[in-house]
Amino acid sequence: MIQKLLSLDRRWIFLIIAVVVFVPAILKIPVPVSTISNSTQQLYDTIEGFEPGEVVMISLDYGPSSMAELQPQLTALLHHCFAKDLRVIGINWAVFDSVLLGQNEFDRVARLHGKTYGPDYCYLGYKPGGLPNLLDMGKDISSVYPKDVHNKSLTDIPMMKAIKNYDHISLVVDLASVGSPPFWINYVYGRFQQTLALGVTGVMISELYPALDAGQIVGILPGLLGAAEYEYLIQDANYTMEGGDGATGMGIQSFLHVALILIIVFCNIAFFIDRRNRSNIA
Amino acid sequence: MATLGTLIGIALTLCVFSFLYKDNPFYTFAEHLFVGLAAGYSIIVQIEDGFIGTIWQRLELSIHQGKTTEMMIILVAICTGLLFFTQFIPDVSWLVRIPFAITIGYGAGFAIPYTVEQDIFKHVYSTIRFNETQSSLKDNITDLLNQGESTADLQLQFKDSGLVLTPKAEIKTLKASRKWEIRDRLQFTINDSQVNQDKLNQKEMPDGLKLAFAKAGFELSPTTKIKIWKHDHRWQITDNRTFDLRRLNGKLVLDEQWVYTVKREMKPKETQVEVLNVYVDFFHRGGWQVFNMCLIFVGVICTLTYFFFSVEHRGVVGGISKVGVIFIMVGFGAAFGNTVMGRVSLLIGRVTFLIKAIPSLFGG
Amino acid sequence: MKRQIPIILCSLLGFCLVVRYFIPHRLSQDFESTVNDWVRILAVFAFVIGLGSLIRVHLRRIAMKVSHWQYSIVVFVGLLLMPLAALVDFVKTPNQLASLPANLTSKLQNGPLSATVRQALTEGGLSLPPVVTVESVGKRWKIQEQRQQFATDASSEIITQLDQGKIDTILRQKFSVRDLQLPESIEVTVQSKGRRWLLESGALWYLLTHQKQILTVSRDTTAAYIVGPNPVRSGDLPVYASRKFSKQGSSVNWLFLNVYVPLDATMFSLLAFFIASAAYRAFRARTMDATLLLLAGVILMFANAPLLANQFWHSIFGGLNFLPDAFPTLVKDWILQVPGMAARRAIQIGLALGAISQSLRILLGIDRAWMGE
Repeated sequence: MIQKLLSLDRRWIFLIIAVVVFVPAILKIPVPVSTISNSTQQLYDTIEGFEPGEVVMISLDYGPSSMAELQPQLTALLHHCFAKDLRVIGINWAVFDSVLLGQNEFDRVARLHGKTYGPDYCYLGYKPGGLPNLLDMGKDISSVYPKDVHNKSLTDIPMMKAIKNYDHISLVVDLASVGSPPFWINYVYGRFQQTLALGVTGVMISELYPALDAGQIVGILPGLLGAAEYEYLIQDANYTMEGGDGATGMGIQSFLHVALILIIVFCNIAFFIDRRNRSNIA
Repeated sequence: MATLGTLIGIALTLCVFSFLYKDNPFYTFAEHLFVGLAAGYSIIVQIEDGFIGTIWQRLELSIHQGKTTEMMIILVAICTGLLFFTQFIPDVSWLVRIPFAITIGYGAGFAIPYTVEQDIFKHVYSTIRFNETQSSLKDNITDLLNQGESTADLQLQFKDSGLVLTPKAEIKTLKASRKWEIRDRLQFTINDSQVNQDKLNQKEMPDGLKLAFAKAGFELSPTTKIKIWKHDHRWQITDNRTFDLRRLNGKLVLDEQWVYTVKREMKPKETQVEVLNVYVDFFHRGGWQVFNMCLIFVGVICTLTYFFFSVEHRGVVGGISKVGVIFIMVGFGAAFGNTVMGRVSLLIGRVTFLIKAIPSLFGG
Repeated sequence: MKRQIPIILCSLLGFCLVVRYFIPHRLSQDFESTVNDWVRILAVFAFVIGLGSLIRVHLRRIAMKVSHWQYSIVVFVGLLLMPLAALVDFVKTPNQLASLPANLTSKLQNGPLSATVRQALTEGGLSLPPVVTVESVGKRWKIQEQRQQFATDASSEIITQLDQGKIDTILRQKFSVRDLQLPESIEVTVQSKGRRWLLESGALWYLLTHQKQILTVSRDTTAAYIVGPNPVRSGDLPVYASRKFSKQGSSVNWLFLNVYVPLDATMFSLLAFFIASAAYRAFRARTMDATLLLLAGVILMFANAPLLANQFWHSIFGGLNFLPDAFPTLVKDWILQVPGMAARRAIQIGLALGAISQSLRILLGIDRAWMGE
């Protein structure tokens, strides 16, 4: 019996997961977040401390595959920046297939806060090249991006007239699902002393804590949980009324985690019973 | 068109999910379609942003502007880029090594200095961070420091650089070592009734608390913030320095000890005003912080030893590396926990999509 | 030669860049910019190699009729679909930059741009250069920036000023007489031993050539805008940048959002199922080390689920005053920031040491794996 349970067809596990994810998703069980991770709070405090008019650059280094985790983070960050009257530049440094995702979200959130393209925010998109682009933006952004995504020259974008390079940017946030953070840290923080923060997928969170401890970055948004925490913080401060995808996801995620913990506990109990039975027989 | 789009989106999502039952033609179709689309999309991007945006527009501009050097550089780069195609011509296929050589030499040339600086020095420094600069003071403060008292002038100077001292702060001059040490301690207990706890939880500064701080000789700035750090019985008060207020046996207790070391350090001649750095010393931090810093130090050393294969892992080295394994396991366990969260989030994204999209097909 | 040249090139470039780190001189910065440009262009070509190998693999599968070769045709369908959609968008209309009120249509005539139309366009956010002509193309109009050129006598003062990187007031006047406004912040780059100068300010630039006391000023541009046609009878005329092969068009957008995004996102979401089955099969407390791994993992999963970390924890342990309410989150942060971070940091230092020695081996020509050896 125990043997059979331990070598259960994996499709049964798949079925359990499917049920656990669909039921709360259909019932829409809300689970509010009320404790905030340190790393999220640090990023929030950094942006909170900015004066109106300061510039935040957000690099979307993720594709549709990791959109579920990072898009809610982008939304929450944009709400915060626009509500505090900061100016925002959007780029896609490492990944080309999120240009549309970013551009649409920038336009949508900006509309909610009554911000206009040009004076308040702009979207520069993707340019092939990799590392050279990162380094050249330290000297002149327009050498890497002569035009924005709308094919408008950078000199025609009002906010970009005063923004030449990293010196005029208060914070860069890299939303990453690929290996871009080490590049931003080593070259942009290391070389230009640019204040840097990260929003990353669950897989990458742990490996970035050393950089946080060493002061190379000022905060990390940890996956969808980070998005939910950030949403809680900005709603608490009345920066937005819009409920985000992070909070919705937390309900489903909680049930899935409960299921997974139960699965792990169950298989371990079964494993110990099985081991004891075997040693008894021996 | 929008409905058709949603329908296709749902169908493709289900095609991919069908793989969970077993491999089937629907999944294989979706998989191959995705590979093709991804390549197709990258073609558009490379033509638009690469060949036109990066190469052609620059070349065109450099020709119009008469920048011959820049034009030559671009032309040489294009020629080098074309060498990538020589791999299809057997006789000259070795030429493909030239663009590779440039790309690899470029990567290595940048990687060496910045990896040393950011990945090694910075992290070694953070691991053995036994004292840390808190702020800096102008050099003209030395006379005040030498008086050995916490005068109003001195208080002001400290406040300007973001550090607030209590009037009771003691100054000790360490002779001949360019150092001054300032010990400051804030300690008080207040009855619960004096502070309206509801207000504390609303992140407002209750009057009772302000009074208690004032009694201890500490002036809080009007922008003081309260963070509910741990619900109900622990608060963090953020002013120019951060205090932890906790509840102990029905009373609110604040007990903070701070030791600043002011150091005069050798400075380059050209700077006009000499700057003194203020440090908070390792051993004068909170006990918990000290413990964690030691733990990090031990963890890094032990883990490094575990990965150091030039010495056989026996005896002392073996013991150290065994401790290293503990850290590695905790680290990887944590990484696994976060990975689960990441993967689960991706599934949630798709499920939310399906649940929103399917009713919309029926006008819901 | 087939081996030496690439190795020498690689080492030379690499070591020059390492030396550059220690010399923050203007020369070394110029060198870096040049190399950056070079590598940026190479990156564009490198993409063709990847695409080529994908096409080759699938062509071969079709030619050899290996099992499931039909799916390789699907790859090609996908591959052609996107560029085709972009072509459709290219033929149709690209994205709008501004709009022109419909009542101004009568002002659009072949020849120079009328002042009223210019004003309307400028208010709509389009900044136009001083000399612009309108050309009627079927139902549309094309607004084209013109080649600007004029010749003038140049005094020796003007030339000396230019050589010093400044612009003489007389020269400035000569520009304004021709409706060409030079902004105050204009930089002069001297080229070709003093016979040519480039006036630059952002995207605005003029090239000056001095020959036989005649100074020729010229500027070529490529900017062009398309006005119209009117999609709805009464609506304003849309203004577009001249046609561009782009990922911004509506067909590409549609394909991307309805086909590409669902496929990409769902492929990766399958991993949630696999990690669950892996946890069931392999996550067992067989040894002390495995138990530690398991414990840390479970604590993290617990703390990452707000239902457990907040509501559940509060209802069970809320009464215990000595334990903080946010205890699970605090423990999670501690694991990530202290023991977990220490292990990660050690691994990172180790990886960095490895990367540096690898880079050195490449630069010294010891490691030649990149040459396919």
